[in-house]
Amino acid sequence: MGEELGALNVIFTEFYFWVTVVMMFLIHVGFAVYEVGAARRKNMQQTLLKNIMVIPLVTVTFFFFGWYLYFALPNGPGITGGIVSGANDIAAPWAEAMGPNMQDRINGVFWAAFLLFSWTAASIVSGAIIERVRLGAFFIFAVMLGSITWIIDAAWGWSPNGWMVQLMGYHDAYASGVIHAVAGGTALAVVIVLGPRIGKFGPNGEVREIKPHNVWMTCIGLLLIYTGFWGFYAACNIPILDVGGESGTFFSGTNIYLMPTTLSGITFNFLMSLSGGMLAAFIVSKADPFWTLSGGLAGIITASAGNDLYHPLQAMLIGAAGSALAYKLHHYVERRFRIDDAVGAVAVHGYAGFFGVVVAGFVLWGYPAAAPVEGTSAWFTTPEGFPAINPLGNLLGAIIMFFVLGFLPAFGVAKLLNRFGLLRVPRAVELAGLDTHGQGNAYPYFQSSEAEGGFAEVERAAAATISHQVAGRLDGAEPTGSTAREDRRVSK
Amino acid sequence: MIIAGTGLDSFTNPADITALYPFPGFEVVFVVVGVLLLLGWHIRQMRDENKEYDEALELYERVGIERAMHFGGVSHLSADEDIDEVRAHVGGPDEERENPPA
Repeated sequence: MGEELGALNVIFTEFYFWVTVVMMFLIHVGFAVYEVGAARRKNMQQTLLKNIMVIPLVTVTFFFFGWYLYFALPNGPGITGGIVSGANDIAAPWAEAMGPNMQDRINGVFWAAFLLFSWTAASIVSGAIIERVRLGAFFIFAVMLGSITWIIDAAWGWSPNGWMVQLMGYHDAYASGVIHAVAGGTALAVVIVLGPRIGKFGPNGEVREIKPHNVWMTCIGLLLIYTGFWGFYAACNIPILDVGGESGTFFSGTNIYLMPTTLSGITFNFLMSLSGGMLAAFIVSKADPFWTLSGGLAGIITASAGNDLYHPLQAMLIGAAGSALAYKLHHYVERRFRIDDAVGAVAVHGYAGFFGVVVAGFVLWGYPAAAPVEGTSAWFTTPEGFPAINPLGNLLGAIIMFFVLGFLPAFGVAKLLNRFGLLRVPRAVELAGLDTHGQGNAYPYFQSSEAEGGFAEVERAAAATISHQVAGRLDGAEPTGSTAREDRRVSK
Repeated sequence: MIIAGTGLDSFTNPADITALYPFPGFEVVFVVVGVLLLLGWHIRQMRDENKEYDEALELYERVGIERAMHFGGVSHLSADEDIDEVRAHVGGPDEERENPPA
């Protein structure tokens, strides 16, 4: 830090990432507002608790092992090498660089930027499973996804040295797959095991709409997520790097793979993919405000894999396609498989993210993915010997993100929790409301139609089957899905 | 007077300084303590949650699930007289008010 220009560059980079972290906090605020708005009044506070407890739990575990996994595992399970020994010096929780240190100016802010991505991943799952999951179960999923599975996929496919990048030419600049598809896959696994909310599906499988308690909150929450997304895009770039190579010094911003892009370019594409997504969702949802805003999010998520390089109109079209696909698939899966994803998170993040990664493999076919690492031979290379982006690498990459690292571990953990009855709240608690026995009414001074009998008829009917009985004894009338330990014990 | 410290006692040569925090060299101990506390937190949380639901079901058994749904919050109900008050003032559908469940 003795040379002024170099010091300025380092301290600017430190400040740059710090600002992105503060901006990204808005993503989390947005998720909290959005999910609480989507929950019914009787479940608001437990829904909020899920979102707010992601912050400490994922932060602490990301300090203990999440950050280490990113640096230790880029070679995959013995695919291009072993565990990187240097990870200990940078990211082990006992490393001197994991604290205030005069010789390091980047580790903490870079750690925090990745940590905010971790919160986002966990929050994506949170929305899908509201109104019936146990807090303790969600906390386990949050730690698993936020500090283990997503960061392993980042080491594999979101690092210039990652084996998926070096071998397969995987390209996913703004995390369509590495955050959104993996979180969507996780959410899908959990909602399958958890089962639908009571009353979501009729006896003949008909889908019933469970309305948000406050549609304005859900929309403002989504707008806040948009706002924080700006910080996320900036955080995925390295602001100043010499990318000139043999041609001489040339400073530029880069993507996470240290390949050139510009803040200007990604600003075009962020807004155009957002717009494409909103335009498409407005039409397919017949002007539903919630889905129009969710569609904007799906648009960004779909185009994110290639938004470092797309033309803005390509970003817009890809975003529009992803948004329409997410909307249609959400409703198809809901009808066909009776899967209750309360906020459409699996579709907006999972399906759109998966689709976006696949599309990027075709549209960016032949572009350099990253500088080659010595000793690794990519499946496809550019004329200069760089690993090349290609459709096969991105298709397999999307499958790894969604199914291998997203769906499978979550399905296993959900099954395990379900086995012990620790996944879902007891039915009586779900019917009465997750807040009712504990925090109580969140709007105690409002006499709403809900308090006076405005519960959905189906809930009333379900309540009738278990009232006048020992609470939890459902006599075979229990809805599908996971069963709480209390319900099982009573029914024995 | 020179006093014993926990880490640094001078910022004179910043180029030679590494860790700024007190007690450098004990990082592994900090980590072990932190991990144990976190595991304990999760176990405690699960136990509390199980107890919470047991109590909730017991409460709903006494007041009736439909009344709990109507009341929109029964956290303060601890004594039988409180529950009677709910039965008297909140109730359920009219026909059930006339014939409250046992």
